[in-house]
Amino acid sequence: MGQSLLKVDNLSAAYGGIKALNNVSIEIEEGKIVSVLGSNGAGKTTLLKCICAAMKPTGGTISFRGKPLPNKPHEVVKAGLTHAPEGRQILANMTVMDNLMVGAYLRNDKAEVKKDLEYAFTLFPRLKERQKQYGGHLSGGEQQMLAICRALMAKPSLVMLDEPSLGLAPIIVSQIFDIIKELKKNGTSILLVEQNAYKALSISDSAYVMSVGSIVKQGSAEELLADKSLTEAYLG
Amino acid sequence: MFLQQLINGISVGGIYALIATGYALIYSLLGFSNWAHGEVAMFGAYIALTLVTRLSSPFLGALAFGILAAGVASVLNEKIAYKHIRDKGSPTMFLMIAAMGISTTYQNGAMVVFGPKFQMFPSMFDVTTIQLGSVSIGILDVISLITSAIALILLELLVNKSKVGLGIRTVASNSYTASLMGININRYFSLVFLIAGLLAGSAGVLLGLKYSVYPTMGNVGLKAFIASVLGGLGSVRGAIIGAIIIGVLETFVSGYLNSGLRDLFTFGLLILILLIKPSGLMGVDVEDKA
Repeated sequence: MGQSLLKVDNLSAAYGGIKALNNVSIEIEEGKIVSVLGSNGAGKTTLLKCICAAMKPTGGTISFRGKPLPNKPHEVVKAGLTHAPEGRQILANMTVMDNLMVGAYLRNDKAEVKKDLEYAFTLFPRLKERQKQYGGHLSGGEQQMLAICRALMAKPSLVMLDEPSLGLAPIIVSQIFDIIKELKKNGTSILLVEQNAYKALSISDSAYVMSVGSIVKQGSAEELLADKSLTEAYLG
Repeated sequence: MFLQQLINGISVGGIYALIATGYALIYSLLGFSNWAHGEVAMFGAYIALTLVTRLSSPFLGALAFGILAAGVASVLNEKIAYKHIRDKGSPTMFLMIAAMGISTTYQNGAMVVFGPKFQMFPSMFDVTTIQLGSVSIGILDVISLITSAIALILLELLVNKSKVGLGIRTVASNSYTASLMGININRYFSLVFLIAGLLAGSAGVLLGLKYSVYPTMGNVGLKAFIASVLGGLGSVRGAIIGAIIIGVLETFVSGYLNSGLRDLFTFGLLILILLIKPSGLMGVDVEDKA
């Protein structure tokens, strides 16, 4: 057992009166890739929104390194947890470089930021070529890369990626998943939310399967890949 | 004559720009027209005037205090009214209506406290002129031109070259993303209201010195609004350009035609730009101009 990094306990949330999360518990250990799988409307994005404090849960607790996670989005980032959100949320009227520098907003170690930027550009050479262009002028795949890269610029201990494969060509998806594996090697823990269950399991250590707001299955990636019922329901 | 009018126009435009840029900043962050912005300028002017005439404070100190008071008033408007409306998740239309209410409150408050009369600063510079060849410019116009130029250059540098500016631009671009990047957005909202208030206060004091101080002088905010629409709502640089165009246009119309036609031309220009290029000269595309 590794060191527990993020622990979500019995989390519930609702939109108006409609329940979106029902006693969800997940745990992520240091240095691991953990996936949350499930179809549309299963509550995966809601779970991430609650963790990053963009949404207020109706019950349950979230702790990070054994301490309660702050309940304001900017303090969550300070604690070491960043988020490449649903829909990428690129700053369309700002340059790629500005987008990346905003990612490093809380850091004051200029030299280190520069080094991390260089490293990010080796992972995503396309972003280096396009650093002076506006975020809104990038292709979907480049925007996704920018969203991930920006989330990494804060030097987080845990990064949450919301459907990085959504709407992208298979070759780009493979590139992005290769990069996620690369991040793990560098010691960043990753919480990956995906509909593309097969692809996600292929790089994950463990995973949770959600359906209508609850966790319906959990286990190591191998176990889940071997699970017939899961394959039928989600891997089509 | 032409050159003299041009310099006067730019000087007036510079004052409009001080209001218009703050207006544009607030619009770009919160997406609403802050109709109380001109009243902040009026408030600053009255504070400075009262200090000078009633309490016989040192002149420059009084002006500085008036500008500061406008900054504080602007932040209080945000904290007392706008923030609560935002926190409830109400539509931005509510913010605009609240701003109208605040504007009326300021105007009537000034009427009660300071009276409806036009009041003047004791004359300090208005008789002095600088002679440059055939052009003679009032010293006050020169001071006002230099003051606005410095303030606007500092604003440009702050917004485009500093880390605080990166934060402002991020919050303006997408406040949700900004919060996910670790930016405390409420602090930025307060900061922008402070900057906008200080700029408006400077404009109020300059207008008070140049003309006079009266309860409805905040209506100059309307000119700033037109300048902002002309330049492109939400764009700081656009607001500066729009303001100078309007300042020059007004001065020329007053000088060569008839000062009564001034507003006709200004509003005519507004209609024209809305017909030809609704997003403004430097505009980022925005859908509604509430």
